[in-house]
Amino acid sequence: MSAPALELAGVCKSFGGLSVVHDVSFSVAQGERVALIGPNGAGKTTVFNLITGVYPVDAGRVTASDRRIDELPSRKRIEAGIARTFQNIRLVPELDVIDNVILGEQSLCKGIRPYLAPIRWLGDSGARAQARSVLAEIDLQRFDRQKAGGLPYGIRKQIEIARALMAGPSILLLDEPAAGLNAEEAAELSRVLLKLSDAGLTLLIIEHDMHFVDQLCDHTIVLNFGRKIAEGTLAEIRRDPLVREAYIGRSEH
Amino acid sequence: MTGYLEGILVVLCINAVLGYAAYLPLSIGQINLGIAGFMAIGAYTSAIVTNELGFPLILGLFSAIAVAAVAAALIAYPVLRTTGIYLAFATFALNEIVRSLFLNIELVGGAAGYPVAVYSGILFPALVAAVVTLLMVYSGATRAHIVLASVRRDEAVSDLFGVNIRLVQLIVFVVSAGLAAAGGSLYAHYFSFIEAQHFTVFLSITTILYVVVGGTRSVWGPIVGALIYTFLPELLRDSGEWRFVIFSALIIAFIAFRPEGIVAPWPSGPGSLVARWVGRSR
Ligand SMILES: Nc1ncnc2c1ncn2[C@@H]1O[C@H](COP(=O)(O)OP(=O)(O)OP(=O)(O)O)[C@@H](O)[C@H]1O
Ligand SMILES: [Mg+2]
Repeated sequence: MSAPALELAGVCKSFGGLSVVHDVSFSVAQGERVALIGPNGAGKTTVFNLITGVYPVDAGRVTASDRRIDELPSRKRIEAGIARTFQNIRLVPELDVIDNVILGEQSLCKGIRPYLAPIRWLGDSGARAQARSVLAEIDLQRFDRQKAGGLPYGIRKQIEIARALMAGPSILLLDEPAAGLNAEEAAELSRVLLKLSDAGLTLLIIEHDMHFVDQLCDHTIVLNFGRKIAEGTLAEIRRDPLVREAYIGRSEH
Repeated sequence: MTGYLEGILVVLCINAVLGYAAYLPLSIGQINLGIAGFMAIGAYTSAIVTNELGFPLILGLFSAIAVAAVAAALIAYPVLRTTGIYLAFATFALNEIVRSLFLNIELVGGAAGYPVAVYSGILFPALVAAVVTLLMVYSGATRAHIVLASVRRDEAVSDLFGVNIRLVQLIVFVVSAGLAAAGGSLYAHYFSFIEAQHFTVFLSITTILYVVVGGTRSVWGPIVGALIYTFLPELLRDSGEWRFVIFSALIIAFIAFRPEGIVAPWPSGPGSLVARWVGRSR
């Protein structure tokens, strides 16, 4: 069997004495679709931030395809094949959609040459052609010339996915991709993600929408107060007493 | 061409080049108040190598750019460790250090100023301004434009996508210094006399202001800003003492209602400027 696409071992993080991620270990196999769920404030986004290097880990290891990445600078981790989206959309609103997507390719631009081509004047070639085909993959090409800032929330969420895909990742981390989408849009998004998964992409998805998780993911990891409390298929998770307590305990106060 | 008009056009060319020197840091969200200092380095370098070493005009220009770029690269490490208002203070200090250095160098006349023997006429500044503008417009069509806009908006995300923020900041700082120096060289050889007192922080601030009016999100912004800054005071000449008041009021109005400057998409529909302004101050 090949090495896991992503593996966390004993990862810890605290902020000013508050332990936010504690001794979290899990692994995501190549091509797998894994959901990371948990109540608000459980530490899910922080796990993404630790994987991508927004913060250094306090303890533990992160490996991607057998390569230790937790000691790499954040800028270099995308070169290990890890790309992500953000819970609160972080695009450049004053740039066209297509330019936002082109930024995703930044880690592939080495040396001076990629900066010399006047891509804006070259029409449909090079970086723009590629960005357009990535947009087409998720059915967004009609927005390519619009400013990212003016578009609806759900569209902007998906532009972030296009930007991440531009990096040619082997694993994609999505932070609540279905948030703000209606049922139809969410179903469409999960179809798109399944297609990408069939093409070999590994997915790790933070999501509150359980229907979405059910449609898409083959494995689920549950965090609560920074600890992993359960792991398995969604059906198994639903029966887990710890998980029930975590969700019910929170919603009752 | 009358001497008066020629003088204004040369000032326009110099302002355009300086405008790009201010535009580059602004395009990544930095305020560099040291532009006039690098302009001074360019002016004095160009004057010295043409006066004392007999270099031709064009080599004076290249020397100015090279010396300022090297100086910028050397000072970049401590200066670029600061951000925001501290970067403004650091470059402010840098500007004043450079200015007082020239004020105290005997070779260049100290406070008495320094005559520049080689005279450029209008063609040379026009050519240089045209080349600089073309290069900047070209770069605005490349990936560089995307990277700069992304760094300005969100350094953390740019970094996660592989942008080397420190390197981008260094390149912007050095290129900006080189452009300011080019402007200084043009200034020296047209006005034939330079004195350290000219290159104050106030000159840096004025340059930044007209670039802000022109627009910091399009490569055409500095040109529009330079046009306004060069011609408006002339058009307002009849209003006498009031012209600077009018001009200043205009700048304030722009910063309040239209911070992205003239060259950027305008909202459509009546009242939308006001609506956006109210919306912003939530
Ligand atoms: N940079 C930080 N500094 C201090 N505390 C932080 C920081 N980042 C996250 N936290 C805290 O860590 C906890 C977990 O946050 P995190 O964003 O990872 O939760 P989450 O599981 O993604 O929640 P949600 O479902 O609401 O997005 C929260 O209590 C949050 O306030
Ligand atoms: Mg979160």
